[in-house]
Amino acid sequence: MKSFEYGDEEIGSREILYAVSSMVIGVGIFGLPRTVGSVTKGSDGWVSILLGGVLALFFAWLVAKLASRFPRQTFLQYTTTLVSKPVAIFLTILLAFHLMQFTAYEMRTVANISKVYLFDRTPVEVIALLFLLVVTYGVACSSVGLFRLNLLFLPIVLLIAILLLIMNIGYFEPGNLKPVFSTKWTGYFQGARETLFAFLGFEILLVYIAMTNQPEKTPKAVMIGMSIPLLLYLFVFIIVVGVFGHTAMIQLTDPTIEIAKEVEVPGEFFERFESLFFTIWIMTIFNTSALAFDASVLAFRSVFPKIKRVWLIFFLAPIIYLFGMMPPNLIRVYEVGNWLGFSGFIFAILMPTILFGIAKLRGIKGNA
Amino acid sequence: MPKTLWKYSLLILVVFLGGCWDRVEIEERGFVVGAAVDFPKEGDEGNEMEEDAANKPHGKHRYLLTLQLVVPGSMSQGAKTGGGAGSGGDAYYNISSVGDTMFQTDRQLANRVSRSPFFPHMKILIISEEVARSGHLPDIMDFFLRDSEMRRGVKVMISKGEAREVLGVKPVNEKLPAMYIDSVTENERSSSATLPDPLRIGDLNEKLLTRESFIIPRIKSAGKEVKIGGVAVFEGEENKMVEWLGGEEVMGLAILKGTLKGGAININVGDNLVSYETKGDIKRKIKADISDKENMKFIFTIESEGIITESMETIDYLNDPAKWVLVQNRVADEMKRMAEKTIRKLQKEMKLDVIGLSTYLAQNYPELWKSVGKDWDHGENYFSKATLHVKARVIVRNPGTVNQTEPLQED
Amino acid sequence: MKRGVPLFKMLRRKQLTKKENQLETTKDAHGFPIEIFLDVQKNIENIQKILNTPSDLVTREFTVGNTKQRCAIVCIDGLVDQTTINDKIIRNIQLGMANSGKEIPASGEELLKEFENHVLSAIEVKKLNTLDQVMQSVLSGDTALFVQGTDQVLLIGSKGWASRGVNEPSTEALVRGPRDGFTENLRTNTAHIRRHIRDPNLRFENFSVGRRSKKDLVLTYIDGIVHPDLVGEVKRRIKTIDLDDAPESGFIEQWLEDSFLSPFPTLSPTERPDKVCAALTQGKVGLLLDGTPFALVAPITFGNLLQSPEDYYERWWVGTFLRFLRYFGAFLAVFLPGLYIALVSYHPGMIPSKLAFSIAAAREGVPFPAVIEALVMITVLELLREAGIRLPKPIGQTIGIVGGLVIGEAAVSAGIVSPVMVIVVALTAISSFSVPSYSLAITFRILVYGMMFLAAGFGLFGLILGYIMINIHLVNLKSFGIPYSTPFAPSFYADWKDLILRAPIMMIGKRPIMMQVDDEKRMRKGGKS
Repeated sequence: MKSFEYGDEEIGSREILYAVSSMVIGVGIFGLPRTVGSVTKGSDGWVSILLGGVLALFFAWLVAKLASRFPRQTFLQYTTTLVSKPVAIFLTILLAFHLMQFTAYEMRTVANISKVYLFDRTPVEVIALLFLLVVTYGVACSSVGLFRLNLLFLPIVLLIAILLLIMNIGYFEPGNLKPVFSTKWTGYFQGARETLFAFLGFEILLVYIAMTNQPEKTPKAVMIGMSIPLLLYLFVFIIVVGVFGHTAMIQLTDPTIEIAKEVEVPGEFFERFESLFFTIWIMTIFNTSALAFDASVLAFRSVFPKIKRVWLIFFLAPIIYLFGMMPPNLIRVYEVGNWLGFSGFIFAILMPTILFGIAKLRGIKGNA
Repeated sequence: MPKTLWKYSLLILVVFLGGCWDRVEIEERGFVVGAAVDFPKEGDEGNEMEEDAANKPHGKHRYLLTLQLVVPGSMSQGAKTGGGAGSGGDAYYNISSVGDTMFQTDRQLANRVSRSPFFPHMKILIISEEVARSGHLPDIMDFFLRDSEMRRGVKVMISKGEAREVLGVKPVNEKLPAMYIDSVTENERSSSATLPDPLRIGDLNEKLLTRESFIIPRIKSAGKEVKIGGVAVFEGEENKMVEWLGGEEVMGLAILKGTLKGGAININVGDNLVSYETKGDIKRKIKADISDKENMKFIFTIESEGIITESMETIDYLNDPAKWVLVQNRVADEMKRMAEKTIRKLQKEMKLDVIGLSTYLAQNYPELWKSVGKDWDHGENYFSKATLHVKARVIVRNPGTVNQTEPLQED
Repeated sequence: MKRGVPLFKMLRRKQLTKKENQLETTKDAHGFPIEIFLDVQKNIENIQKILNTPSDLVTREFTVGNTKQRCAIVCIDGLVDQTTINDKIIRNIQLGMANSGKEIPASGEELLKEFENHVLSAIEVKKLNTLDQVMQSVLSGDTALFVQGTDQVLLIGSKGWASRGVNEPSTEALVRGPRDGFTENLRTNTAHIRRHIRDPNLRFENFSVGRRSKKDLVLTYIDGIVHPDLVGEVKRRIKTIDLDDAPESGFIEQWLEDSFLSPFPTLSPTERPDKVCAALTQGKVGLLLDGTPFALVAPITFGNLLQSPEDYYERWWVGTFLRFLRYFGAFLAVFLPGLYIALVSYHPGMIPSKLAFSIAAAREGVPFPAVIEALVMITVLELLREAGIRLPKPIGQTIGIVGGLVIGEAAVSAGIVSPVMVIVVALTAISSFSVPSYSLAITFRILVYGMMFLAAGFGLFGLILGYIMINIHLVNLKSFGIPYSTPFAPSFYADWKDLILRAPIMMIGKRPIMMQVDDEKRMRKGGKS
């Protein structure tokens, strides 16, 4: 039945806004204060976060601008018009693999952290499998369903984050923020680079803008969507530094979860806030993984339109699982994370810039 | 349809096959509420296990870990039978074992109890003076920080004497000694100046990571009760305990750090005593003159607002502004005296900065701190060379609910 | 419609082909002639043959006036109102014709016309000319009048059978609000709706469902508010219905719903006329089936099921408070036992120390893990609920006492379950009763088990995955094209005024945007939105 337009497989700019936020907010936030803090001094990391965030904002805008130049065209279609068909196919498949790896990484991280904070003996493999199964279920249902899930989950996730920050104000020592601006300028840029990795994920727009019914509104929606994680990261960083102090912060594996540990819930209603915080955070990690998986399925489908979506999903899920379980320990997982940041850098920043340049230079526009 | 069903059934299968690795029922957990660390003595449980493995790696020290576990059954018995008989026995038991590492000891203990130790409800950690002085505090803390079961809100204290004795006190109105100690530290009403702020293990972690010197509250057991008062001073380089600070010095320290929240300050007016209590936090400002590295000058300005809580000397507060001012000045002088006494002890005897000047410098003069940081309170010890001045200002907000309890004596 | 629905579509395709065959076969399913003869006697014999001369079949032959014109009336005893037949049919024909002084037409055709136009004083009279239509009318309580020499039959509306009076709906009792509820009588029910909405645009469309039962099904909506495609879709689905009998609107519901795999209801049954009327003014459609007091409302979303008419009857502060309470109740009804299991078996660290110790003390000596304990208790609770319905009213109360107090108390003191568990189960039960929609409450009662298993297997992690799965299902489920999670997602902020909050009546000036109604404004000003 087609009577209710919003019931169809189309998304509006609001969905894009939420999707960008949900995609970017994932596991990156847990370690962010540590990674940024380790190259900056005092509380100077916020400058780096702001710098990295603004850069990310710009590139996200670029991606949105690029994709919305070709309304209702898939990534494959418009890259074909920009560069040749074989190159386009190559890029699409690479992008799909990158997104699969993204899902795998999120899955592995969620399993690792669950193992630390929620479980003791349950094998990581099982936790990851369970998580991936739910992700697969979500993806197998429909793309537009995932967007709706973003709408449902993101407010809850932001709420718990704000709650976390508010409850930590009691432990906040303004003195810990000092000294300010004592970092060398190279430090800021190093920090910004680290932050940029935490902002990656908006490359899914390359695939998704084909689905939106208001392409002209997307760049603005993307900007708003990106500023939500930017603000969140800024506040989290400042609170974490204020609570732990710089020295302690960079020694904690996941400082953002540790500040949840710090909290005592008023009224002693329950304890161990970090378990609750992390549990709820799983919702946004689910969103991130599911969107990445779905985007990779869409990318694959644009290359192989004959394969049924469901079969593709069942085929890809085990591969993602293997990708995710390959690294044997935490350090290797971080290594994978770095590689992922690198390939994300290519897909979210380098490639769109080049494609956008080509489109601008040759004056190619979709639909025209 | 078959596809969907297959998916669901697979999911359910996984849940059933996979689940329950971590399921431990609540009554099967041994809730640890307190822990104490000592050096082992002859005859302690587990000490004899030494010989069985000559080749296994050994630590620098062996420790005696005492855990206090809850017996939930006896906890509620009082409630159930309306406090009758009390035949249920203690609501806790302490159990000790010796081992090279905390974790190993913990697992050894697990062999001896029916319910394996479970730490998230741990409230206090007590380290004996002996262990604190040996400089192995960070080694011990590692376990209590690293394990994800641990809370960052555990309160750490140093015991004068054996640590495990503290866990053995038999409080009158509480069932669990650890909970009793926990509530004593929380007790804000009696938050006297001699009761130091409780130190959370999370904060201790931060202190251990920096080179700052720091303090940990002291606890003493005395039969049915404990006494918390005074602090152990640790120097920051090796994290070794150096010295105790007594009651009055703790108050002085609280004044210097600006953390004083209450506590009686007695002053002499005429030939009788007047007692004053700070309400709310006191304000502290530091002014620094760092032009000369060898002789830095710091001026502490302390501002306190409070009330008269007891006045043995009969003063007509409401009609005698001069006396009011006199009282204020006397209190200020007293605070200054206490602060200076503490400074003398810290700066000249211990040569350790636990006032927080190092943090102050690091935060406000990062450039200078780079050059003096390493030799702040050891080596060159710029701290001991610095000059510290204290200025105090006291405002008495009101004299309490009565002006005078006896008529003013006419002179 | 992506998932779950393809299966449904497949099914529907099958139904359609079946339906086409059926149209031909039912006509002479039993090999009886279906045309109407000119001879009255023959027709009556035919009918008697078809019905196998049942005891409740009444046939009466007579002649009109002093002519030899033979007539007969046929009706079913018990379905008809005897006085109507006596006063309005037989008396009129026999006395009226004789006294009118008019000449009695000779041909059957004209006599019939004369009857129809001048003689019969009944309101509802129609002419039919096939036997199966006549049979259906007679079997639903009309009276057939055969006249010699014509193949036309007059059917006079004489329905009148014993039916229940209008009572307060027992499944949806309210403190404040109209006390009348639907009954088993379709006409009474449509009358209820008419009385509430006196809009000329109120539509009732009749359908007949059930191959054997031929029940009346009325589709009602307000033309000019409802989205026309919605009506089209509902009609299309109604036409696919292929049942022998539809004893209750539940059959219709299950046939029309979007996904038969989903535990969530996509049509909402109700006994309250005010609820149906409110839905109609929001641009929804209602379905009334003869023989059941339960009407159906479609389409519905998750939020609708947690609304109660009382929210609107009380002042908005109260309404909002009740809504919040109900959302909270719904959460507890699904997750509380799971949370308890997760906390007690996996994360006792999250329980405040003193509470943890007392739970541990309470569970001391309980032989089962918390999961088993919870499963047993929840199942006992379900048994009690079921037994409570089944038993005659006076005994039903005893079951409550025996089950709740005796078994509960005994189980606790025997140490089989812990007192905390009893509290948890009781809370869950209370919460599930706070859900206004009975069908949603049942859904929750099933979901509770799923959540308990997940919590038993993986603690909080399992629970949150369960929560995510429920949400995945909800956003993909549709009720007649409307995503079930509307207006949360896809979100229509203007509709949120009447979702968890219940904004003051004056401020809900527009009909729900999600219904894409033709006439958006509910008030002249259309509110401030």
